[in-house]
Parts: sequence; C-alpha cells; structure tokens
Amino acid sequence: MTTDAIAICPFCSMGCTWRLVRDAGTRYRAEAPVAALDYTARGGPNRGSLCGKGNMALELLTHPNRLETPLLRLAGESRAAGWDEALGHVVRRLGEIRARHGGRSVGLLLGSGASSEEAAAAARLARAIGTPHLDLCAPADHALTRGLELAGARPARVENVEQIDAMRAVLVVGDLFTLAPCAAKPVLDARYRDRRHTVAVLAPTRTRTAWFGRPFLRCDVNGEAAALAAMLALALERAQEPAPAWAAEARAALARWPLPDLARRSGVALERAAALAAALAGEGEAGVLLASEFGARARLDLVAALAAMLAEATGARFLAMLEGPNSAGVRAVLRAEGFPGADGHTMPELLEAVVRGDVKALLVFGSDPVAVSPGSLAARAMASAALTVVTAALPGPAVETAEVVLPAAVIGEKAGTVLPALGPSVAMAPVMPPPGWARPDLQVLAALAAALAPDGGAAGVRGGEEPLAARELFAELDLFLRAEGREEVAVEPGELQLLAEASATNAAEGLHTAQLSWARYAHPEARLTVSPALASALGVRAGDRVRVRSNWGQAELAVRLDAGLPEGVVTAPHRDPAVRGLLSWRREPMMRSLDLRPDRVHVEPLGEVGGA
Amino acid sequence: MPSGSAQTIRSRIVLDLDRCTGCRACGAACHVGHHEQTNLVPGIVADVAILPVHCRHCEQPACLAACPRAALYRDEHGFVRRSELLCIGCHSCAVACPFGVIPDEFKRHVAPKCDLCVDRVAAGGVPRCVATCTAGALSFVELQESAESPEYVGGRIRSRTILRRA
Repeated sequence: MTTDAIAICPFCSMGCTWRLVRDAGTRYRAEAPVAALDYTARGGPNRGSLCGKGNMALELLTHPNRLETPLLRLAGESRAAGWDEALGHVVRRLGEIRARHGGRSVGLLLGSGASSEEAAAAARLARAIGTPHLDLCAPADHALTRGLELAGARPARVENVEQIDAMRAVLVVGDLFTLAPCAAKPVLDARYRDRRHTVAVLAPTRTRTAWFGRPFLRCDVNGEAAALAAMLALALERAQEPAPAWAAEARAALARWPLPDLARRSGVALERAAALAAALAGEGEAGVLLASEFGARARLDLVAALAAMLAEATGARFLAMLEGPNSAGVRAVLRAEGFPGADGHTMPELLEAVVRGDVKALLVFGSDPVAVSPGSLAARAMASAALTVVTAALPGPAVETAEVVLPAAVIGEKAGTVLPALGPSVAMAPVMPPPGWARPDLQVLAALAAALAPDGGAAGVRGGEEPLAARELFAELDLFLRAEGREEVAVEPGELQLLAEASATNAAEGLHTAQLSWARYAHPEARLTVSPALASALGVRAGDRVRVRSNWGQAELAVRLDAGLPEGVVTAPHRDPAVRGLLSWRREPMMRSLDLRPDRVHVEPLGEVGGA
Repeated sequence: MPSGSAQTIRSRIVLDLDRCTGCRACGAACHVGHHEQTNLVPGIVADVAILPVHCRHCEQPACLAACPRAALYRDEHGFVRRSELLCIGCHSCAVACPFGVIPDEFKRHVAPKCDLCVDRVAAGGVPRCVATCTAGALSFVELQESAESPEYVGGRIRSRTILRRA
C-alpha cells in the first residue's frame, strides 16, 4: 500500500487534509487506483477527524453520475458533443453576442471550488471578452467576504487550530458546527478544558452550535448586527492604544445609538453584551469566529464587518469560516485583478441584469447558480440568457437548462492553490485524472481566452473598490436598524417568519453533497421546524406534513418540533429545492451583495381545504 | 497480525454527551468502512438531539443467544461478532438486542453488527467512528469494573450535565 499526495476537503473552508491511499487490490476506477481516504494524520486542522461529508468524499471522485462528455442543447434537444465542437460553439456564439451587444453583455461567475489559478485565468478571459462582470458564485460567502473587504478592519487572523485551543474567550456568530463540523473539536476543547472559559454563541435560535454556548446569547431574529454594534461600542469605550484607524469615526457614528436602544433592538441584554465585550478584551487569547450562513441573519455583510471590527477593537483573533473551500482565495484574486470593479456587476447584480436582458450570455465555471442561490432569480436568469455555459462535475438544475455543459474536474483531479479559512494556502496536486473527457476548468478558461481575441477598448475594467469609510458603513447600519423597526410592524396576524437556516440538511444539500450518499444517509428530507405551541395550534404532530405559503410560492414539508424556537418563527433549510421557492432575496445597493431575510409565510395543515 | 492480538481487549467506545454535536460523522465513517452498511444507530432524543448509540459487546449478549444459526460469536478479543457466511438476515438479533443498536439496515441479507473495527483495533488503532469524531465526544477507553465516578452513566455514556439538552 502506498500513499499519495495530500488533498484538501472540498466541502467547506476548514481546510481539512487527507491522503488518498493507493491500493492495487481495490480500485474504484481502472485509471484511478484510489482505495481509501486516510485522514488520521494529526497534521491538518482536522487533527485526525473528519465530518460525514468528508468521509464520503471519495464518492465524488467515483460518482456514477459524473459528467464525462460536453453536452450541447440546441433547439431543446440535448446531445453529447466533442470538446472542439462545444468550445467552437461557445466561441462562435460569444463572438456573435459580443459583436452585436458589446463585451459588457457577457457575464462570468466562478464557483467557490475554483483554484486561485482558475480565478486568475477567469480574469484573463473576462479581459479577453472585454467584460467587467466577473464574480464569485456563492451567495453567503459573497455577502460575507464583501462585508470584510469593504469594512477596512484588519483583525489578526486565526492561523491554526492550536490558537483556538488556547483561547480563553471565544465568540461564535452563527452555526459554526453545522457549517464546519471539524471546527467543533478545537472550540469544545477551549470550552471544556477549563470550565471558566467563555465560549459565547450569538444566534437567534438554538442551533447545533448554540447548545454549547456558555453563555448562549440569544438575539432577536435579525438582531446579530445590533448586538455586535453594542459590543463594538462597549469595546471602543475601553479600547487600548493604539486604537484602530477607523475607531474615531466608528465612535462618532455609534454615539447616535444609545446603548440601551441597541440592546433592545438586538434582544441581548446590555449587561451580557458588556460582559462578553470585556471578556474578549481581557487578558489572554480571545477570538471571534464567524460562520458563513444565510437566513438566521439579515445583512450577513454588515454582521461580518462588525464582527471583524469587534475583533480588531478587542485585540481578538478573527476567523471567517466560509462554505466554499476557496471562496476567500477566489475573492482575493478577483479583487487584486479589479473584478467586478466599480462598473462591473457583482453576483446578484449580474443575475438581475441577465433577467433584465442587459447581459445576454452567462458563463458559469464550477458552480450551479440555481442550486446555491435561494429564491428563483438564478433560475430565471438561466432561462432568460441568450447563451448559458456551465462547467460542472455532477448534474444539477443549471446543467438541466444550460445550452452548453462542459464536464469539469473536482478537487483531487486538478492542480491548483486553495486558501482555507485556517492556515496558509495549500497547493493541491492531482492524484487521479478526471473521468471520461472531463477537464479542469483551467484548461477551458485558457482555451476560451486564447480563442477570443481582445476586442480592444471595451474592456472597461477599472481598479478594485476602496474600503468604505467607517462613517458610511455605520450609515448603512443605521438604515438597516431603522428599516427593521418599520418592518416588524408590518407582520400581520397569522403570519409567521420563515428563517432560512443552515441546518444539517442544508449541509447535505450542498452543490455536491446533495448527490453523495451522505445526503441520503444523514438527512433524508428537509423539514419545517416549528415550536410545540404552534404545532398544537395547527393540530399537527412531528412528522405530519403541512403546506407553507409565502408570497413567492408554496411547498409541502414535514414538521419537526423544537421547543427552543422563538414565538412566531419557523425555520427550514434554504438549500432544499422546495424551500428555495419560498424565499426571495434582495440586493443591497451599498455593499452590492445578496441579503436573505426572513420571509413571511402562512402554515396550514395538509388535507384541509383552502386558507383563510 | 501483530503479536498479542489474540488477547482480550477490554476497551470499549464511550460517548461523552457533553461534547456530541450530532454531526453523524461517526455513522458516515462506519458506513464507508463497512461496505456501506452502518453498524451504529443514530439515537434521536425527542427530536432534539442526535447521538450515536453503540453496541456494548455485552457480557451476556442477548443477540448471540437469539441467533438461530450461531452466526454471532465471541471472538478471541472478546468482541461479539457476526459471521457474514452464517448470517441469514433473520432479524432475530435486532429484535433481541435490549439497546436497539442493531439498525434496520440488512444489506446483502446480513445483519449490521458492530465489530469494533477489529481490523484496526487489533493493530493497535481505534474504531473508525472514534477516529472520525469531529467533536472529540467518542473515546475508546478501558472500562472500569464499577462506575465509581459520578461522570459515568451506565458505563458507556458519560456526562457531567445530563440534562443539558432538556
């Protein structure tokens, strides 16, 4: 038995590593002599453990449904094609569209599993086409990284798990253990090694992570931003010298909100917020860990910005755990290359522009915009674009509708650099070739860029955006806090708030995980979580099915009970195809990222006729 | 096989309730390591918590007594194991088990039965579920004869705050 190069887990940004073990005796594919995953080495951030998704990662390399040949869908009929024909078709159609509508009528999206080299190649392709519209296609990660980029705060990064072990005070924002189960070990080590340590969790519902919060700071729905603002104001009062560059502006801006007001808006008692701010700023190592997750919070961008500022003001280390293995790397490369820039569309803007008809061609590399975005906008964008090109490893809703589908390689089959949330960037070596005629996206991007001669002049890519001044950022927070106050009044009797949560089902509904046996094994179906009081009011029991109606659509879901839910709130996993149709998102004009807020829904037991 | 492999191994899997996050990685590792047949049961407590329930490899196994084909036996390490050749998948062991740890996953007409990953344990390792545990909740430790420590509940599950999830 020999061992191969170290590979990195493709299911979140924790950066867990493993070795793919060769064994001549057992082969999954004739040309891919990989027999097993060996993750027991203590080196990586996983330290010998691996979550359920990671355990089933070999299936991704050997999945029977892997796309192996390019597909062309012309006049409604889909057929296999050769690479030359498929790429030739793309180049010809892109040339036509560019000649008629200009380079700016083409938009590019890049998945979070793309390597940093692929991001650089995508930037070259965008320049060759002459379009500034190139962005990361991972909505939650997009909002979070935009917030961090625009916030100007530069807290110390958590470099490795040993630093989490050593932390004496930790603030976890969001459902970290669902997003990255392997992060549980170091955080719980910090929690249990010495029981006087503080591991606070800020969340509106009792998530899998919140169980372990001591204290568990339960905020109101959408209350995270206000709670973090209150903690930031308290931390800035006692910030040691030298204060961060943005501190003076932030102090002035936060002075407009009296602390009791912020505490009331957040739902977290002021003394608890003060105790936590003091614990973070106190002696010894401290950390703020933020999980990229939609739904249970509005304005993920603001939450990320405020969490980073809080970390910098208290001298704590900061960790932003993202969904995609290389979301951070892709955004960093695109930002350095000036994409999407001031005159280019960010991901939500691009989807809107496609639906409007301003952008005619949509090229998606290594992602499925329909599967990863809540709401129906991405599906409408795929339907209304004149040309859609998707590179994908496995079938999905975008593959079903795209005009050209190109089979792609996954992590483990391609070389490249990945920047995980913890630690330095990792250079991956391919340990096996992709199946069939699938190719790494890097080759596709390079071939397209070479075939499309620059159309000169129309490139129009201006330099990257500057960080916002703290003043502008807090003006945005002001608007958000005020608007939320108005919206609360608008909830009508009988209406419930549907929080799109990152539940365990959500983790299983990832771009690739949905098709691994992990999804079937661990989480057979998405459920609507309701409080026992609501269930008895509706006359349903756990497992019964109900009809959920929102302004955007309706779905039938089985019910699951959770006694810890706040009144008037139900939750469902936003990645589930049925739940996706219930949701809508809006684009934030200032941060230009996507915001997913609770939708108002009616819930009725199934089998009864009609609603009110 | 390393020397001394035929000795009785007294270590068993212990679950620390305080640390289990319910991520089901243990089940996934078991699933992958046992030809897609999961040998442990996800215990779902009142739809609130999910935690793994492991085979205890009892002193007087009810499953072994119930097996009509003598497919269950105690091996040289003291583990209660199932012979894949003899098992006919009749469900008798699953019905007999007082802990309900033989899941209803009768693939290839054989009962799923925890073998404590004897291939790894005999070589000095730990079972797959223990190795993969993302929260450090599972451990493979030698059991004490008596549960003197107040931390031990029933010998195989320990918790300091039993009602944390209530």
